[in-house]
Amino acid sequence: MTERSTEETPQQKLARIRAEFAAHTPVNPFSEMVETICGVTFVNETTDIHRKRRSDKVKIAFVSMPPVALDDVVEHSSLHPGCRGATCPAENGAGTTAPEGVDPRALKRVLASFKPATAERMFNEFREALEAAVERFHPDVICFNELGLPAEDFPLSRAIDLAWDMSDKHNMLVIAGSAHDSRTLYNTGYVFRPGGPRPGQGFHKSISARAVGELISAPASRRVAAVYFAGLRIAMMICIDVADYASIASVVKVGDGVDVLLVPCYTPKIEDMNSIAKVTSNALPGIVALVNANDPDGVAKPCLVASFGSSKALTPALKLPSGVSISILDIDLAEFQQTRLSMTNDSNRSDVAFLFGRRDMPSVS
Amino acid sequence: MPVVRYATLLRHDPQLVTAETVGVAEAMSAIWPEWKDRYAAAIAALAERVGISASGVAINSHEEVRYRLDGKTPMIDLPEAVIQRNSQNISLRNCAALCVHDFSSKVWTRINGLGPEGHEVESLGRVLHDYRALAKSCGDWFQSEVENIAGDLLAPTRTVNDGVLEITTVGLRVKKTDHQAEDFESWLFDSAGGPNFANEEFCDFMSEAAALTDDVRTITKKQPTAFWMSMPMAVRMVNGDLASRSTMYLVRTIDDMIQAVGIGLDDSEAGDLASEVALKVSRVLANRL
Repeated sequence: MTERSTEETPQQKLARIRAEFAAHTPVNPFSEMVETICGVTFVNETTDIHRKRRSDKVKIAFVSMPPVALDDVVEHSSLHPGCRGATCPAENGAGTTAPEGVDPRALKRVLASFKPATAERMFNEFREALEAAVERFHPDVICFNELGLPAEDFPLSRAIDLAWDMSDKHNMLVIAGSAHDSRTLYNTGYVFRPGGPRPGQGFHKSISARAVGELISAPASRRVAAVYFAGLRIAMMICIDVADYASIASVVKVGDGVDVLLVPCYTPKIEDMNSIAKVTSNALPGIVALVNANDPDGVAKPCLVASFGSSKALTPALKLPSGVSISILDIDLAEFQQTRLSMTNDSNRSDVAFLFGRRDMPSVS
Repeated sequence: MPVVRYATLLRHDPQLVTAETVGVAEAMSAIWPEWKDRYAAAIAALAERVGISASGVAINSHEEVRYRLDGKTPMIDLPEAVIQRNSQNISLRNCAALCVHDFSSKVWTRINGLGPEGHEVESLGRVLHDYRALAKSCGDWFQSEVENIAGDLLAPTRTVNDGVLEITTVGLRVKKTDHQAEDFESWLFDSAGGPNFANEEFCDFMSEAAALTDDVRTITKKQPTAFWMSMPMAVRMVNGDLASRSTMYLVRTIDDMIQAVGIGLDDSEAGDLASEVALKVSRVLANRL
């Protein structure tokens, strides 16, 4: 901020302010178009009584489930990438062949699938973790990692029932990443909220982690889901989406309306993603939390929280014999708001200004 | 949906310290139970004096005098007063931002209509005239009351008037929901990102909201310190989407006042673009004065 003299006239004050506002940091040209690529959408209504602030603090429990082995991989596709023309033997031939000139790799779909015994184990661990988090910490929000919601080739209905029941009974939000749903082909996360729909509300990963062979179909309408709960505006995205510029920029562009970004992950590269989380938390400004699976070797951290540009690994507050790790974040709402206002009043944030433009400062013409 | 925020700027020499601001807040809180009736009566009388007929003034009983930090600035918020009318009720809030840094304290009054219906655009000039008059008279009264209630606590400092800041923001409700963001931008901005002077509607609304006697297109030439600025704000749409909407402000001086008058198209679900962006602009300007 520019220095001011003690005896400025109103005209001098205005000239000083104008000069400060007009001192633009260049903005990369990609930042302007993000709203046409990706948007942020609230899943609850403005009439939802659970939007209201409940107390001075909001407690979030991050639940890192033990890793799961992919027991089976099932190929699903309406097209047969290997076939050409009318020679395709599958599905009576009609409508199942790959169009000429299309790279077959673009048509391949592969889903993660779990054997029943694995799904059963996942369910037992999920129930134990959910109950332990509620009983021990009484959180306002619980966020599980990606693949945290038990599934075979789509989430188990009893896991969904349990998550919704716990959410409704304890007036809390339950967010859980899942796997690739064989019905939608999407990598889907769910949010369960008191008074919300019993099946939960799904949100999808928008990009593929190509390097790990993930082959998914991204929704045509790319949206970052958000929920207004207990006084916090919480956006949610899945894993590698946090590394996607359009996804992040679309959130930052409406940063006035987003406080926290929760990211269920399942990755050994959480440290790399954390560097992006730090930038994002600075740009919002707010909090970005990466909730990973609990790596038994301890190489990848179970939970990293970036807060207003700084990052820390949370020390697990509870470890269960099954390999579940639970970390707790208490957000003091007054302190959060104070920090946010202090940051948005700082005109010297050229790093985030170049990446996303400044949403907290006026543009002078 | 117009919102008027009016602040008297006060400089302290030496600067206030945090303990003094806490003392003022405690004094306000202590006197509040008996003083609030006087507060309501004063608002009713001042409203009547500026031509706003009121059937009564209700103080929000769910709120209390609150001390908080807005960024680094200690703030004392009074509970909301609602001026009850046969037509649209009016919300009035007073607060004191007691600056402990090298900037001025501000005694704020915010006035806006209540309810989703808003005002007809034909009445914009009259409504803003009334809101401004009420904001000034309530702000002056509140300032004198703070001095009476807590003046002794601030006695070690010399307080001088440092001018006035007014931020008036008008959100023009757009009822159709099939507009694209580009439609809103092109209504407000020219191709260079400046105000769209080719848009007669924009020019007329801005002229009326700022009570300009000069042509809005030439105002920055006639008043060299005046300038145009836009501020983005995220608002929630009916379908749950968050969208960024801009408001164009004319910022200028009038005697010892710095005035910012903004116009924006508001297609938000709650019709809250004006109140939200007004707060944002108020903070940005106030933190530099």
